[in-house]
Amino acid sequence: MTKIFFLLFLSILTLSGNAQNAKDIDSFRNVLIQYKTWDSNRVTTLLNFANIIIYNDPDSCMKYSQEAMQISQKIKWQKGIALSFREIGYAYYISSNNLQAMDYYLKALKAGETMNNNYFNATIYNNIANIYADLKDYKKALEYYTKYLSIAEKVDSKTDEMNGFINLGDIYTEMNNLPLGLDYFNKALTIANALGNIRISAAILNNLGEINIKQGNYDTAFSNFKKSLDLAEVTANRNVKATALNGLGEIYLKQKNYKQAEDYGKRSLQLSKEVGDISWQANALTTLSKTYEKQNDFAKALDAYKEAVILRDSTLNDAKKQEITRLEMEYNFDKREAVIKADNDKKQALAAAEINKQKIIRNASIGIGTLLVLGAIAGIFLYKRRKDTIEKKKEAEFNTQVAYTELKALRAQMNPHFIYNSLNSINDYIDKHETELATSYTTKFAKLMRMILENSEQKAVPLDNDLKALELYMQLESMRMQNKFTYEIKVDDDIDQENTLIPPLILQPFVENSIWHGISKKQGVGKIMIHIHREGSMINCIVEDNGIGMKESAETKNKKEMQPKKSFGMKITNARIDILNKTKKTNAAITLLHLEEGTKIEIKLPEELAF
Amino acid sequence: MIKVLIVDDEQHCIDRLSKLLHPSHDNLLEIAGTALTVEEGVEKILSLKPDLIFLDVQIDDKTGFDLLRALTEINFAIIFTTAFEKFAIQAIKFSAIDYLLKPIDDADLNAAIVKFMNERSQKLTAQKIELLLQNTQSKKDVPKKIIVPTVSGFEFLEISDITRCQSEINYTTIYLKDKHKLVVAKTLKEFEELLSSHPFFRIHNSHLINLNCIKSYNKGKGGSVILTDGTEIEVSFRRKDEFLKRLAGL
Repeated sequence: MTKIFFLLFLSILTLSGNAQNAKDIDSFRNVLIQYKTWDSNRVTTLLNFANIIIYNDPDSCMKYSQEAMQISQKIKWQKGIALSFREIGYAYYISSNNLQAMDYYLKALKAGETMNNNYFNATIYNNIANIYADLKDYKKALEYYTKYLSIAEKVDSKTDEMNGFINLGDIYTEMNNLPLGLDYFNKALTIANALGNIRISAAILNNLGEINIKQGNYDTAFSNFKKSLDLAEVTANRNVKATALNGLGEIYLKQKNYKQAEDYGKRSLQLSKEVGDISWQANALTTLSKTYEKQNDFAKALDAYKEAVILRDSTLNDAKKQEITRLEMEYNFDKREAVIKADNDKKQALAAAEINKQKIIRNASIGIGTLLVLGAIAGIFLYKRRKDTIEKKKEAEFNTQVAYTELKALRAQMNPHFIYNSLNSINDYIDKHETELATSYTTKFAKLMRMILENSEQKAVPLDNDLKALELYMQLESMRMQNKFTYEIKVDDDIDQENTLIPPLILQPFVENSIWHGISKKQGVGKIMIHIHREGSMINCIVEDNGIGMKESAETKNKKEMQPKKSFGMKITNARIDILNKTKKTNAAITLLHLEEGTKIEIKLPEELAF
Repeated sequence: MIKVLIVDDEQHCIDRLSKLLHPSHDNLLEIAGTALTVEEGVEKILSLKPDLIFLDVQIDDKTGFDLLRALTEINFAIIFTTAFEKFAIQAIKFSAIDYLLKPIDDADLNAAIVKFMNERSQKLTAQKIELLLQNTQSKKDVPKKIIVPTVSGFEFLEISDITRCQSEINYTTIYLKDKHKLVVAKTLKEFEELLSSHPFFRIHNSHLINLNCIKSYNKGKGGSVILTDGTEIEVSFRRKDEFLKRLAGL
């Protein structure tokens, strides 16, 4: 019985109640023939028309709906697409193709998302619920009907509210919850009456009648069926009429009014045949069979029964078909879900992968950053260490150079040449029995050696001390050369000899040069002048001789040599001055001047005081 | 006549010294004897009773100090002769005993003899030698006492008792912890050298101070120190770095 009601709820488009008569159908057909422009107007018209003819001509309904679909897609009208999907869904539903119907409803829901139209969604919920109800999945059906009803109440659509009540009533009836079924049907009836929707009022009355029979309330049932029949007459709805007639037949049967029962049964069967509803034919035949039986017309009863059984079998086949559909749908849902799940999984996997990727990128960034920082630190550290090492190496090299230079300076002062010459001259004194001179020479030589050794331990020594050593040296050389030269040491009064420091025997190599290269080759007695005087913040130490001069000396020594070769003593003194300048950041310098007669060396040292 | 004994393990050194002494000091000195070993030296001292001994520091594997330790009584003056024994010379200096470096210079010898003649009456040799022997007992220990020549004679001082030394041209004033002060006929430079192995530092041209007597140091260009006796002495800025280094090393 339920199927009838489901079919009623489909008129959700804004069609007026009176749009269902033949006249309207004709006018729609004319509009569609004349108005051929592919636009939203034609789509709306097609869909409205499809909806009207859905029961009487499901094939045409499908045709029009699909045309609406094509146009909507062509003109990219989203609402049209959604509505078309839904209409196609209806058409499939009417043709008992629940699987396709569900598919199109879902498509419609999806296409309708952008419309953000609750009411549209509500209609689809209703139709999905219908399918679940067909599949006897009442729980799901109730869920969707409730959704539908709540939206209907929200948008204050009385028609939809009514539809919702009817459907809920039907489900509860199916679930054998008769009081709730009655309750919902009565609510629906109130609205239907208020709306003046006769067709629906009639259908509801039928349902009420069915429940009344089940409850054994035959009078009320009769009354309801009678009212329904009257209303069905008005609307020419054969389905409703057939139901009502069968219902009345059943009541007459129960009341043992077999004549009437037979009459109503026949009428119902006739109508059911006209409509092509096997289920209702079977129902009518069952009623007739029972009536014949009661009238003891067993042959007729058997025929009717046989026919009913065949029809039932076919309805059973329908049921089986439904079951198969259900299974198919479940399978499809599962498949779809699987696809969705797979899709989701894929998406999640992708998201996870993306997250992972991001994580990796982040971690890598942090890692790289950390590495860079560490690298930089290590770099700085290594650079510093390298720099330190280089500096240390430089320092060590410098220190080595200093030590080496000091050693060389000492060696310059204790020139082996000088030592052997000294020993030779002592030997000479002894040979000539000049013992006094030998003694004097020896003790002076010993003193000088002692001073040189002691002073060489110091970086700087007081000027007076150093000049004493220098004087000893000159005395010895003068003695050795039989007073070949005289010397003079002059220190300006503004220099504190005890407090002024100079590198030990820095002047000695120049004095030696003067003696060996200047004076030794000179005719007659030479003179060496040592003059220490102040020049600003510098102490100028001058060693001047009146010997043959370095140029001449070089020429005499080796005529090929154009440049006077720097003596070992000069080299070592230059090195010492360099070290002094480096360690004390001073600007000590040596100048060599070639005089008319002799050579003049100036050594400018920064004044350094002990205290 | 002054009786002279020469102790040296090398004959040529004895000969050399004898020859230097003979011509110029014949009327004053008499070389009573010579000795080549420590034992011979002790023997000769006891038998000859010399007034002055020229004593070599290194005598074979022994020293002149060993010779002195062998004696119970010392009533003679000593002039050490040495070639190059830094430690010994330092000890000798602390005892204010004269010494000559070999080869001996004629002029140095004369100066030493003049000094001996001048100080002869003081009869301080025994005390000086006692100090010398004390100071040379161990090579590791630095001398604890010093003998300083004053205008009136000699003064024995505990080195740690000296607070500071101040230069007065060719003299040096020594300030002691007990507030005494001594004027010594030595230059500050000599004291600086003498006390170089002790915690003394020349912070200024005129000042040598005992680093253990510093109460505080005031920062400045060179800064200044306040000593335990309350005196404030300027530190030469040229000595500041080395001074602070020495202080840190204490």
